[in-house]
Amino acid sequence: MPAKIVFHAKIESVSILDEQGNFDAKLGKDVIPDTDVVRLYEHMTICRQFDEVAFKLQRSGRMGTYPENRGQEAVSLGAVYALHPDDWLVPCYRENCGLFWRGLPMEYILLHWMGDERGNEIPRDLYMTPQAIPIGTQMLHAVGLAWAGKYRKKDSIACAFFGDGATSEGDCHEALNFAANLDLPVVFVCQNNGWAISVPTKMQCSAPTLAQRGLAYGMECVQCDGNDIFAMAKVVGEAAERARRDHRPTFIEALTYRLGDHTTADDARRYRDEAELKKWLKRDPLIRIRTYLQQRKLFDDSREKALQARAREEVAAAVKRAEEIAAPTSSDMFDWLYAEMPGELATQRATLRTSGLGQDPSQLQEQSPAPSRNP
Amino acid sequence: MTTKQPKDKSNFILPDLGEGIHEAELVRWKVSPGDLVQEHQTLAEMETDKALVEVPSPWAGRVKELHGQPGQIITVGSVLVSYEIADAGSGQPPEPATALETADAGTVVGSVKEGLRVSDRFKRGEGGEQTAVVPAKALATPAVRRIARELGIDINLVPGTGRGNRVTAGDIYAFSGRSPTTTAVGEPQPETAPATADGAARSIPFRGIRRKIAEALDHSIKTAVHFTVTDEADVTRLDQKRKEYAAVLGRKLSFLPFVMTAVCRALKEHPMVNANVDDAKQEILIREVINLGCAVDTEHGLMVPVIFGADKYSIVGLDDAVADLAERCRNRTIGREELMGGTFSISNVGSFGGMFATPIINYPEVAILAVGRVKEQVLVSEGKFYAGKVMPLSLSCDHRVVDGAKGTRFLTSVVQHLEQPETLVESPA
Repeated sequence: MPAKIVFHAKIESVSILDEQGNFDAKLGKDVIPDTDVVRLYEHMTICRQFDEVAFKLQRSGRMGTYPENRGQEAVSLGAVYALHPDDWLVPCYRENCGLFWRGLPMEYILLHWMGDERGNEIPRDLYMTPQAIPIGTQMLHAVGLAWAGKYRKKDSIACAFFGDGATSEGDCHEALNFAANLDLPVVFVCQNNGWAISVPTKMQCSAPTLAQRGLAYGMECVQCDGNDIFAMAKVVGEAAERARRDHRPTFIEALTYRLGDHTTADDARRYRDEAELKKWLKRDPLIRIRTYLQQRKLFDDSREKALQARAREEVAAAVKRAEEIAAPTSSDMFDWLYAEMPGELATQRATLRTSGLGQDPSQLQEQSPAPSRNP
Repeated sequence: MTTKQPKDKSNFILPDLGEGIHEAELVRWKVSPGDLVQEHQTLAEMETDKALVEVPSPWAGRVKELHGQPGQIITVGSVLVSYEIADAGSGQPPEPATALETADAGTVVGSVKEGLRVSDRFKRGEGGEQTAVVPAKALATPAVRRIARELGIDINLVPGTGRGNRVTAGDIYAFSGRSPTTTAVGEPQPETAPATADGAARSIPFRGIRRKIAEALDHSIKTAVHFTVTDEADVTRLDQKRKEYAAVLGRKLSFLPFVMTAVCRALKEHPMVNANVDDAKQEILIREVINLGCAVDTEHGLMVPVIFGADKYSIVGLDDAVADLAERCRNRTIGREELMGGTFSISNVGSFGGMFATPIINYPEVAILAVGRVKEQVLVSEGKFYAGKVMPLSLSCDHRVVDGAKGTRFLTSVVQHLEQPETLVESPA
């Protein structure tokens, strides 16, 4: 008896606005209205300025470390644009653009990388978790948030962002299996920028796409051009609808590229081919939207000039606000760890204050303001 | 790490350009003394052990002096660039510089503006201490909450006496006025199961002597390559000799001192068995002296005191020495040095009833003899049956040092000495 074929698979790759400026009018119909395209472009430009300034803050010793977001802005921005304001965002560290679009003040990200944990205390009405630095852990958090939402019969869903490297982690596979098996409303957005620090995607996955990892767990999966904000908004919008309507998760592989180094402690020139970088510089998501707007006469050079000035001002103001916040005191690491401080910690706290390692107790009298919580 | 820069912006201190970078090589300067630079403008290209990086200016100002030549290694924390200090009269630093000037500590509360509201949560009370907040929702474990639910009590109304004002089961019962031995529906609770019920286990941690024993035996069995050979000695005549001896001396006398003497004699004939191993040095030490370890059972566990120069003792002397050591082991007055330095050990398992054994060597010794219970048996000699006393003997050796043939020969020698009690009781030559 001939073997029956019990499973057929196909992975679609979605692209709406390509790097030559060709726009698929049918696929892109009503995805983003033109007025919003302008706003998204302006926002992305400000984020690009933020990224460049943040990088320089690190180089001049004003910030501890920083992972550049440059080149990957469209992934998180398109996704967050397509989501509801109370859908959970569960990011790692290359989603600044989407987080700022949701409403996170820029100084939170700056504070975080300046080593001030208060930058991680996200206002509750923004529905986002702090940036996950360990790889892939946040995917399980997203599953938990979606599960809780479903249990409480809420309409909200969870959207997890992670890199290509995270798909090699056990946490990723646990998250995917739970989400699919328990019918949870999760949108998994994999930012495949081709490199897990210095390890190319080919070296950690033998499958032709990362998208098909979702297939193995029985969920919808799709690949898309991550530098195409229309494609991002469309696939995430559809995934979000599937999550809300059917409580089914989706795995989205967004093809993108980080134009900078992994972090300020890295030098990508040591392992990446310059020709590859040049190829992707042409695919910059910012250039692509600008081309789209130019073609439709929705933006011009004078507006561009004003926008650049505004970006510089807004980012400088955010840096100013972040640097004006008094540094945390050495006692803070004890004070905010437990609801009730265990005895040993109280002893350590007291020892640190009197040992000369920590700050002088008189210094602690000064009040340090922090970024706001809920009013 | 962020790097603290001087407030007057006179000097730019080289920061950590990556994560944990201590120094960087100056590749080339991108500015010259006298240049007016903007914030974020590149001052120099530097190479760390990880990356070639551009170092930007943290503020706007006029460059006064560049510290270092291309090719020079600059340590993080040293001055890279000196700036003219702008004063009211001369310098006119560009606008962005003022951004940092308001950042003085102490005035921060007032200068935080739009977008940042001071959080009540982060406000510190007097002396920087938190003020205790009494939670509206009671703190309690799920088990305690369940008791409250079953008794129909709102746990949030129950004053908590536990740690951190947690509500305990006792608090719930006190609040309800019920005793914990009756349930909500008044059913009697089953009697508490006795601690020694079937399947119950008592956990005893490895501590003190028990741990020492465990560690020593574990090390021995993992290090020495054990093999055991057994034999029997016809001690019919020895038993008679022993009884005669005891009658003459007017005291009880066990087989043990006789066995020890037989072992001493056999060790002299087979010096390879009277040895220690030094695994660190990969050496076998053939010992000139015979120091016999003698396993003693105490309430704390096994101890092996040593009779030094055992071959020099008489039978009675050995019996006295063993009794003394055993007594001092049991009352824990034995010296540490008396528990070390053995060259061979004897374990008298027979005093508890065993016959054969596979004794574990008292490392770093290379052999140990287990003496079993002496039993009356029907024996055969030259085709004739006779009733006799038999002593089972089990010898374990470290095969790395003592081969099977050598070990067996040694054991045979012990048996022969035991079977010739007349020579055994003679004083050592």
